Amino acid sequence: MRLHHESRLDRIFRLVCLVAVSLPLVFGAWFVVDTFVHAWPGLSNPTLRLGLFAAVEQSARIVGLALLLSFPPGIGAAIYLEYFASQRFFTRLIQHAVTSLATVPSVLYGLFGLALFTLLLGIQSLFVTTALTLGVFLFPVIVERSREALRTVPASVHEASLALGADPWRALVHVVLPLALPKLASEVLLVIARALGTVAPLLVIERLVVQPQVMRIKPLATRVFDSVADPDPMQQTVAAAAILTLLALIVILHVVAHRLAGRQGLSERGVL
Amino acid sequence: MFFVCALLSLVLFTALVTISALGATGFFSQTTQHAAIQLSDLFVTTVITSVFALAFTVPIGLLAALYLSEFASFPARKWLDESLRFLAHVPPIVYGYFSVATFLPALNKLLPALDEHPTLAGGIALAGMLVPSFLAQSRLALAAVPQQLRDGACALGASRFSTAWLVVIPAAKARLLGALMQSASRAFGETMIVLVVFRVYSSRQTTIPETLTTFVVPNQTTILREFGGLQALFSAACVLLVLALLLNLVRLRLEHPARGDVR
Repeated sequence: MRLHHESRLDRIFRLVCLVAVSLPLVFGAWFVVDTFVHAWPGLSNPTLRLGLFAAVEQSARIVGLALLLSFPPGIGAAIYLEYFASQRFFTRLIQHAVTSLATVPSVLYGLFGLALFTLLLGIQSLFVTTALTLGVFLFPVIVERSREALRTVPASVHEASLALGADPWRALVHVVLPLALPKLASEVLLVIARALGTVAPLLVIERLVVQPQVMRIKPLATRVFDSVADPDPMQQTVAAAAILTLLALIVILHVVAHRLAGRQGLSERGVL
Repeated sequence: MFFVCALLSLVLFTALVTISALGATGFFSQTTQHAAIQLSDLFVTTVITSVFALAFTVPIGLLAALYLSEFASFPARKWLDESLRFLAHVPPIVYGYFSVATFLPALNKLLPALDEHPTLAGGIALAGMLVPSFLAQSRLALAAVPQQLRDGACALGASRFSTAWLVVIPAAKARLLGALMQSASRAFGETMIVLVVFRVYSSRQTTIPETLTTFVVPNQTTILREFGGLQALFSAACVLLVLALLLNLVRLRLEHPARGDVR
């Protein structure tokens, strides 16, 4: 049933809005198709495939180490902010620090990591510096996403377990965390997707090396940039293939995350 | 234990600010010579590029969000929301590659002046990335407007256009402005797209412009010991940091107005 009377102005307005919504969609479809077309000749080349595979492996190592370092404190901070913090001045300060860290442009983390880990702490390995910097960059993201995951557990469930005599630690480990687990896992996958696509801090560290040393295998992120920035037309195929690999990984992570988050709602598992 | 983890965020934040400030005062520079840079030039380029980007992003994003919240049918809305949300998560480097390889050359045929204006090209490329995220946030802002307001306007005989323009947008104003602030801070802080456009697409220019962010990434691998300009990099970083924090403050203020500001 159409309640509104549609005047000519309305029809024009609707049309303009429709055009506006189709612009990003057309843009997105165009870049996916275009990347496919450009990457196709490159993907049949076995050396290129091997190179990309090595890059993905290196990326996985770096992101893995970064997550290993920043996930435990990240979720710890999220648990503190959600369950143990009272509304004091200090808690608000921590919250502001987290949101501020999350809005700082990613290049700055590159400079920060370089100054802190290489110049002040004297870490020589480029691999370790890169992973540590990525870890610092991911920390606020992990805190915010874990908080969102924890918020999907209703406060009543937590309070019920406390009322039944569970101490705060047991309530957390036996009640809240298992319920938040699917959502938490899905958020981790999204963080991994984010980390894979982060180029700027890695690039800064790679370009400003302390000693004439380079990482033997470049991670996918900086490899993508190198081939995009290379004026050699042969490299354009490499760039497209690398971009397609990155895009494919991110799509897979997103689909799995979506499945995980959507699958086990509280009501479906008979809890509520 | 959890408290220590939370404290870590505070420690990191303080470290970030301190190190940027120390770097800007020349703490890490081995040489005393000052690299000649014009911070104000970098700042102006950053602002111009971001303004171009936002000038494209805001109308497209807002109208598209209006279509989704006011016109689209339920299944179409769900499907569109999903695909747009995915676009918002595509990493910037992908947009940068596509802009340089295909989009900007294609646009150049329509708009021959694009070649001579790297900031405009950078702005358009940036808008490609900003539209999906701005759209997603405006969508949330518009969805938060109670349906009763729309029904009320309809009952009073308002057309779709006047409902959207005079009722829905004013009601969502605070959150829309918050979304704008977030897009602005992303535009200021975005590196990869602008870097790729400036260094690859506009590399035939005699003077390649630099924004605050692209300035931080040197053109070639540089060995730090011989690099006196680290102080300059940190100065640019400091300006960026201050900008990001200011925009964040404004956004927080808009989204959670202090008591008494509530209309």
